[in-house]
Amino acid sequence: MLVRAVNLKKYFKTTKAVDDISFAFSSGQIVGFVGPNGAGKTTTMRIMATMDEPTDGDVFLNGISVQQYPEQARRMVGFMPDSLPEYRDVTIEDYLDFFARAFGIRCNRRHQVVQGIMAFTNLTGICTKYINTLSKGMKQRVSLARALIHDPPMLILDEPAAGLDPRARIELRELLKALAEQKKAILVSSHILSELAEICDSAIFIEKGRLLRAGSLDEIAGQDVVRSRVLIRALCPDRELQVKLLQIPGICQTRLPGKGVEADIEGDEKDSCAVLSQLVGWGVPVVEYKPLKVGLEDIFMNITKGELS
Amino acid sequence: MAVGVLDRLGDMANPIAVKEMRQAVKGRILTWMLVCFLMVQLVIMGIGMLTSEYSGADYQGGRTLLSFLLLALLVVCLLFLPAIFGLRLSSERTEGRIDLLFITDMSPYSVIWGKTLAAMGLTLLLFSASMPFVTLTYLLRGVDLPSIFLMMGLNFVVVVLAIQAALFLACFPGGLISRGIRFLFGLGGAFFLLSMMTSVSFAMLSSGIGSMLGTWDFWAPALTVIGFLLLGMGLLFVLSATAISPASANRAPVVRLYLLLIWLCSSVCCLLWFLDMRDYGLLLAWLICMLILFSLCFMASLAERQSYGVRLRSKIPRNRLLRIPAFFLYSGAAGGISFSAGMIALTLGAFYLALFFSPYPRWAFNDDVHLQVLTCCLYFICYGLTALMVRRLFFPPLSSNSMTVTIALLLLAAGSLIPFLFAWVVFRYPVDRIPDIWYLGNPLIVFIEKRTLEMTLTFTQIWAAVILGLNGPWFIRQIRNFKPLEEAAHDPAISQPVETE
Repeated sequence: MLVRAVNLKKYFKTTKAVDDISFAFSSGQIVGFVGPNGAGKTTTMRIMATMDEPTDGDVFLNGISVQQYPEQARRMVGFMPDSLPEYRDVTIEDYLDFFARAFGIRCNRRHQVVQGIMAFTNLTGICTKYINTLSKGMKQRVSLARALIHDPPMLILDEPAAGLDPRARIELRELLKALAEQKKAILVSSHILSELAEICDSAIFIEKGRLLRAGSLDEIAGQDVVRSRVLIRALCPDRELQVKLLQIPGICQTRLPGKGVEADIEGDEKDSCAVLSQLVGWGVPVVEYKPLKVGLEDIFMNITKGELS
Repeated sequence: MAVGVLDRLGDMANPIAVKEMRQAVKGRILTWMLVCFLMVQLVIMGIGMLTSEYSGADYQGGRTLLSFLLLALLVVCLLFLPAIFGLRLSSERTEGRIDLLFITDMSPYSVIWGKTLAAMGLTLLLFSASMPFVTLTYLLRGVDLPSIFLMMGLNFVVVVLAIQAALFLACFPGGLISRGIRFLFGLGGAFFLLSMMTSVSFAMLSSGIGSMLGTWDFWAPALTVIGFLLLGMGLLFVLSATAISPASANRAPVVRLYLLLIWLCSSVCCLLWFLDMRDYGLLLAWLICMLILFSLCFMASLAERQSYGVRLRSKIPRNRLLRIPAFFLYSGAAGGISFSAGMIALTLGAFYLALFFSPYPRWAFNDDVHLQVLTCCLYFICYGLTALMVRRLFFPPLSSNSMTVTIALLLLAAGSLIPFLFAWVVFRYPVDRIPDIWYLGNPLIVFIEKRTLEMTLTFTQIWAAVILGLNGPWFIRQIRNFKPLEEAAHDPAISQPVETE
């Protein structure tokens, strides 16, 4: 499954919600869709799910245009909106059965599919509960189950972790990993970047409707190397090491995470190496000098300005 | 084997209908409504039985009791059922729940059909709960079984019509105020239908309608009325499905084809009745109804898209001959305006042809009402086309399509009021002596002052010609832009973006 968004644009009157963005990802990938509020994430996702028509551009799912062939395209997409709409007097099983019927899944197979999806999302034990009585975490699970009911090769998840407690988040993360192992292409938007960093191998950053960066996390981090981060341990008190580090030009920030000192170094690996030489030159007994991976949060803060489209 | 057949039947059921029925069965509202309804019927029956010795003397007991039972049935079915289904759909529209259905295999038509089926199912349930009681009235005399079944059948059709109207009103998304206004409007309509059906039922029972069932004199008007009720129901169904369809979809063809069907059926029916009754009033009534219908269609067309999106273009026929009817039928302001104007012209043509070839003396027809309605209709067209031009000239191309209708209504209000106020305030004419010319912008003047008919008709004809000329280049551009995807991709002139709704 190859997903390609090509020069996607969506204008609302004079507002450019999505402004000429292009990206691609494929099966087995979990791609984080990152951007401040109002950046155009939900609009882009709704276009990809065939729910909205773009002003210009197109999205291709395995070469099938969502614009020209929305009926074919939507069978390949499972869309999970940011919240599960309220349904009164509907149990989880009835709700999933309803959507299975809506996708034209017939008798025995429908029963098997519903039971299978409920087992996968761990809903079997509560399948007779009414939807409007569920907690936020349970509702998100039901919403994910609904998106999976027709076994789509691609999943679009809009803020699936919003409002979830830590346990529910961990469960959702495991579910997404399991889905990626089933070779599904997953696009997931979230504000909780630490969560995304743990499950995503790639990310798309947008702001004011414009694409800022897209690619694997390493690639994106590499594109923006203005700083590198290292963890330094020495046979001297951490406070002393921190003071010495702050005397070196190019060290912009230091932290004490508990064991050793974390330092942000202005520049690339060469500059990092110069810092180590300086420490050794001063006779600091360094026992560990470990480059740290730059997190999604750092990249996000580096490349976005928090502007709305 | 039996289970297999049942499963297969279950598969054929509309998913929405299944879901709605399950919701109804699991919810408390229906249970309470049914229990209360049965209790009310028991009370009515009890009172009826106790007092039957008085009314029984003139053999009216059964009929009176039946009237009360029908009233109770209509109160429940006309006030509560449409409210339940309407409010549920309205909240689904507001919360965007319907949107999720459009990424399944379900079409907007099957969504509305499912809602209608579920509503019909619950209506049938209430009618069947009422059936033993109403059948019992037969034993109290004063009413025969055919009359009872006829009244039940007629009321069922009317209830389904009311539910369809409620679904239509609920289809439009909107805030609390808009929903509130629509709810009050629907409630008013339900009370109107309730009072009308109560009096109609009573009148029909009193006239001994059951004895007329074997005659064509009964069935001819009955079938006509039922036919028009079904056509109205169908129109509401089609409009509801169109209203919930995504803005990017090609929504118009089914509506316009259905309007064409209404036009054909009603014209044939009207002609047959005219030949039978020799009454020109029938032709006139048909003309007025059709002119109102297509004027509304014209106003709705103004709010349609002015550029064709990829989804619509991918459905435009490549064959140039097929593209001509497609232009009139597909979504788009220019096509909609042309279709409405064409249907108005066709209606007028058919009316004058019927008058010309009428085998009955034409002196029987000397009514100006058709000209008054035509003038009013021309006013709407002129205001609409003027609004179209104003929007194009003074508003950005990506402004909302519905703005054209708003501009048209503002122009209508301004045209009707400002000249009148000008004459009154600046020229100090007494209100009752303002010359007719100052009323030229007001479409209602043709109905208030019949003598202005000639002047207003001439004025609207000139206005229509001028505004049509001014909008001409836009129409030509729209026709040229109406191309399938492949042709549009190679045309550098077609690059304007799709506007949002």
